[in-house]
Amino acid sequence: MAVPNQFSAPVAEYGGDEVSALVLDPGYSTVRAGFAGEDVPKSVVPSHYGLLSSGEKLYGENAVHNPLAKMEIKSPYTSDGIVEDWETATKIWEWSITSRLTGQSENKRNGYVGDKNGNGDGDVDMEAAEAVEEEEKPMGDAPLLMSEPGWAQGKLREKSLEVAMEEWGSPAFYLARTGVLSAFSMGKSTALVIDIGASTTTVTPIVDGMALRKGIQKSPLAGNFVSNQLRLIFQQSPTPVPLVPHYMVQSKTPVDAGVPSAATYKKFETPPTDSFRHFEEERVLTEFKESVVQTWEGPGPLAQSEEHVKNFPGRPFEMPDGWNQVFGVERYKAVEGLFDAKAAIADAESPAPRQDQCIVELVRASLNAVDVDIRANLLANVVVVGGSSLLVGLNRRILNQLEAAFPGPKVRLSASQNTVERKYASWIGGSILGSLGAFHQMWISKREYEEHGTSIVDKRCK
Amino acid sequence: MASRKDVQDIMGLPAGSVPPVPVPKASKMQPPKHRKTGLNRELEALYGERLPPVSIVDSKKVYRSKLTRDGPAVKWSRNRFSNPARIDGLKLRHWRPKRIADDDATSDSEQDYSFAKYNIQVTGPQYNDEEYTKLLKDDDWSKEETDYLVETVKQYYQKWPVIHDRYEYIPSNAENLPSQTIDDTIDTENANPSQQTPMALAKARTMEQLKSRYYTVCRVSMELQTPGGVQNMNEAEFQLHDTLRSYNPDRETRRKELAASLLNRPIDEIKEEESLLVELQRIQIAQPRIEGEREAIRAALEVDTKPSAAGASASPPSSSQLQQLFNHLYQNERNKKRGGGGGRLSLAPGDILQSPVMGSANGTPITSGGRDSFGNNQKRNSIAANGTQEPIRRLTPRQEARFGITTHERIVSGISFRTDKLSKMRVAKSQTQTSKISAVLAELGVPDILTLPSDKVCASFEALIKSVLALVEARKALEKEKGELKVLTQMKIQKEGGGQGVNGTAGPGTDGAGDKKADSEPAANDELDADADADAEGDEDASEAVPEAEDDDMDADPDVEVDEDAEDDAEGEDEDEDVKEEMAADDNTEIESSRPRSSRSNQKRSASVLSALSGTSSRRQKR
Repeated sequence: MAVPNQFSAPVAEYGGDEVSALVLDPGYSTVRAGFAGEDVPKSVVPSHYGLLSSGEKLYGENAVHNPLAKMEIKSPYTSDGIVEDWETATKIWEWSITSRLTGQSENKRNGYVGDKNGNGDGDVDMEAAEAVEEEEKPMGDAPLLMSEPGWAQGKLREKSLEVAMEEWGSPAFYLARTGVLSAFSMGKSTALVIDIGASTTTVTPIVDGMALRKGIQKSPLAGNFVSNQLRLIFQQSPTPVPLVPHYMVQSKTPVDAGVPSAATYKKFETPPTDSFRHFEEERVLTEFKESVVQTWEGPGPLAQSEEHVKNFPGRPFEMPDGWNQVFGVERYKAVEGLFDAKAAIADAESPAPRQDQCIVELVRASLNAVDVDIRANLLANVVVVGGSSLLVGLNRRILNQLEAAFPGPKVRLSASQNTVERKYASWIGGSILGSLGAFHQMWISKREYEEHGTSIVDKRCK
Repeated sequence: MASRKDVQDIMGLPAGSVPPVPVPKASKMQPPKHRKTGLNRELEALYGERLPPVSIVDSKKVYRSKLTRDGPAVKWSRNRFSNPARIDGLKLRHWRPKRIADDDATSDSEQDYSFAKYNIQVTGPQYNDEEYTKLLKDDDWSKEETDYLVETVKQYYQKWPVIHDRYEYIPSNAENLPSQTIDDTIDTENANPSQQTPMALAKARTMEQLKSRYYTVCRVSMELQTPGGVQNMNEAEFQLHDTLRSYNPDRETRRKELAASLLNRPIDEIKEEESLLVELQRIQIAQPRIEGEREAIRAALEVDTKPSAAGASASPPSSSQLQQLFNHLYQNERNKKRGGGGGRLSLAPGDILQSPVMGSANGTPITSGGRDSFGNNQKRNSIAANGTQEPIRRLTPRQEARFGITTHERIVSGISFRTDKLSKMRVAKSQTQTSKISAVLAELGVPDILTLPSDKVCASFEALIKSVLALVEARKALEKEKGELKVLTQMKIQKEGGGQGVNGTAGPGTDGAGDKKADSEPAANDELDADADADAEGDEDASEAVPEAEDDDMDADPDVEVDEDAEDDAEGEDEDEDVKEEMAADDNTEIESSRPRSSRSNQKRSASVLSALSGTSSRRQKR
C-alpha cells in the first residue's frame, strides 16, 4: 500500500470538509478570528479600543498602544465578561475579521483560499460573479462560527445571530459554547473544562459535546484578579514597586537592585489618559506574570509552607524604567488567592473573594449540579485552558487540590503543553468543528433565519 | 612455456582425455566497481586496512523517488454543494479536484454529499390523543408535559444527563389548558383540582421521574405499534420491552445515593480499602509459598513420627524431639527471612509458647481423640469448629464415652503426650527396681510402647504399674523376711545342736518340721502376699472393670446392646467375650477373697486382660 503523502487523496475516514468558514472567538482580553481548519487563529486583536475625544474609535493592536493625547482605552465588556456595548463589540469583531482575513472591500481577491492548496492555480474568478450580490456585506462569503460563553442565555445569543445575519451578511451562522469548543480542542467530547481567562474563570461540565447548563460555574478570580493582586503587592510592599509602563520611558540606565531608576522619561504635551496608562501597566503586569509569578503547587495552601517557600530562589524582574529587584515569596502570593480566599490580598477597592469562588470549589459546585453517574467520568477528563492557566505550576496545584478534594475517583487533568493551544483552545475547537463535514448540517442558514427569526438559535445551537 | 600437450606427454596421459577448460573471463563478469569520489574517497583512504566502525551509507538512497506525474496537474475548483441533510438548500463551497468529465464544474455536480449519512434522527414513541387517554394517563403528568418530554428526549438524542439539565417545562397558564379540556371529558371529578394547583409551577423533575415516564410511554407505544402485542415481538424488541418495563425509579434513586456516597468517601476509608486490597493481593501472591511451607512442615513431622506410627522399635516423638524440630524449622525460617520476604507462616521465637511442643508434660488434652498426628489435628479442629457453630449439646455418658469426651475440673495448660507419661511410669527410683518392673511387664507381655495409649488404656496401665510396684515391694519384703528367717533358723539350729548332741540324729525329722515351719512361714508370707495382692488386685479389678465396661460400650458387644459399630469383627467380639469371662472369674475370686490365691494366677489374668486390651486397641487403630 502506498504511503499517503501530500499528493495522495485524503483517506475515506477523514471527517474534514473545509468550507472556508470563519471562526470568531471573542474574549475579554482578545478577539480571535481565523478560518476553520487552520491550527491557529490568523487574527488576534485586543478587545479594548481607543476612543478619541472626537468620538472616533480605534481598533487593533497598533492603535490601542499608541500614546495619543486624549485617547481613552475602553472595553465593550463589563468587568465580569459580559458584552455591554454591543455596537462597539460588533465593530471590534468585524475588524478582527476584515483587517486580516477577508479584507474591507469584499471578494475582489480570494487568494487566501487558493494559497492553502499546493496547486492553487484553479480559477478563482468564477465565484466573483456569484458573490456580486453579497458584495456590500463584509463577510458575506463564508459561514461564521462564533463562540459564546457558557452562561450566555436568550437575548445575548439572539443578538449574536442578528448581528451576523443583518450586519455582516453571513450566509450561515452557528453559535457554540466556549467550553464545548475547548473540550473539542483537546479531542474530548466529555470533559470538565476549567477555563481560566482574563476576566472570569469558568467551569463547564460537558457530556457528549453538550454543556450542562446547570453545572456551569463562573467566578471573577482569573487573570485580571492576579494582576490586581500584583498591584496590591507592589503597593503594600515596604518599598513600593514603581509600575512604569513602556511608553513613558525614553531611555534607561542600569541600576542596582532596589535602587530607584535613573531613566529619562518621555515628555508629552498632553499626557495620555489614565485609562491608557492603566492599560499599558497591565501589559507590564502581564510580562511579570509570565516571567516571575509562580503557583505554589501544594500540598496544602501556601500559608502552611510559607517558611519553606521563603528559602526558594527568587526571580529578578526589571521594570521598563530599569528598576529591578529579586522577588521571593511575593511571586507565589499573587496566585494564591485563586485557591485560597483567605490568602488573597485585599484593600478597600478590591474586596477579598469568597472561598466558593475558588477554582476547586467551582469544580465541586459544578459536579454537584450534574448527575452522579457522570461525575467520575468528568473528573477523569478535566481540561484546563485559558491564557491565565499558563501561570507556572497552576495545573499541578489544581490537580493536587482536586485529588485532595475528591480522593475516591480518579482525577486526570489534561492541558496542552503548547501555549498557543492553551490560550486559543476555544478558537481551535471552533476551527475543528467548523471544518467537519458532518457539522455542515448544523449551520443556521440565512433562509432559516428569515423563516424562523432569532428564536432558531436556541433550537439549533444546543 | 609448456603447453597442455607437453604436460600430457610428461604425465603419460592420452591426448584429449581432459576436455578443454574454458578460460574464465573474470574481468568482464564482475560488476563495475563503484568509484567513490570526492570526500568519500579520501575518507575511505583514511580507514586504512581496517573496516570503519560505523558503516557509511550513501545518503543518496534515503530520498524518496521523485514524484512522477503522468499528465497535467489536477485542477481544483471551489464548488458549491448542497447537503441533503439540510432542508433549506444552503449551498456552501468547498474545494474539490476538478473532474475531466464536467469541466464546467457545475454547482450541483455533487449530488451525494458524503457526510449526509451522519444525519441521524432519533425516533421517539408515538401516540395519539385517544391512545394517550386510554393507556398513558397519569395524575402526575399532563399530556402537554409528556409531549414536551418526548420532544426533549428526541432533541437531545436521548442523552439523559443533558435532557435532565435542559428539561424546563413551563406549563401553560390555567386560562388556556388544552390538556385540561381533554382531561375533563374523561374524569371530571378528580383530575381538575389535583392538576391545576401544583402544575402551575414549573416542576423540578428528577432524572428518575423523567426516565420512568419516558420508558412507560415508550413501552406502551411499542405495544401499540406491534400488531399482536407483546407476544409478537421479536427477540430484540422483547428484550427492549422487558428492560423498559423493569425500570424501577426507586431503585435507581437508591443506587445513585449509594454511588454518591461512594464518590464522596473520605480519604481514610479509601486508604483502608486500599490497604486491605494490597493485603489481599499479598496473601494471594504468597498463597502457593505458604502452602509449600506447610507441606514442608507436614513432611518433616511425618518423617519424625513414622517410626512411632509403625509402633515398632523407635520411640514416639518426645517433647525434646519436637523441640528440636521446631528449632530446625525456626532456623530455616530465619535463613529464609534473611534471604528476603517472610511468609505468613513465619515462626517467631514467641510462637514456641503457643506451639504444641512446649506444653507441660503432664497436661491433659481436652479431648481424647486418637494419637496426635496432624491429620487428626485437622479433624479435631473441624470438630471443634463445628462445636462452636452448633449450640452445646448434652451428651449421654455413653455417647461421651463413645466419642471419647472427658470432662476435667481443672485443665493444665499446654499439651503433653501420653506416651511420655506412660514411659515415665515405667521408671522407678532405683535402677534395680526399674529393671524389675520392666521384667514383670515383659513377663506379662506388655509391649514397651503401647500402640494406642487411649485414656482408658493409660488408666489401666497406671493401675497395673501401681500393682506391679506393690508386687515388687512385697517381693522385696519377702526376700528380706526370708533372709531373716534363714538366719534365725540357722542360729536356732546352731543353738540346739550345740546344747543336745542327741538331737543330731533326729535332724531330718526336725529338719522336716523346720522345713514345715519354714514352709508355713512362706505360706503365711504368701498369705500376706495374697492379701496385699488381693488389695492390689481389688484395685486393679476395680480400675479394670470400669474400662472394660466402657470398652464394651465402645466396642458394642452384641450381647450387651444393639450394634453400633458395624465394623466390629467377630474376632474382636470373641476377645471381648474372653475378657468378660475373666472378669466374671475375677468377680468370683473377689467374692471368695478369704480363700488364699496365688498371685501367679492373678498376674496371668491381668496379663490376659492387658493383652485383650491391647488387642482391642490394635483393632481400633487398624480401623
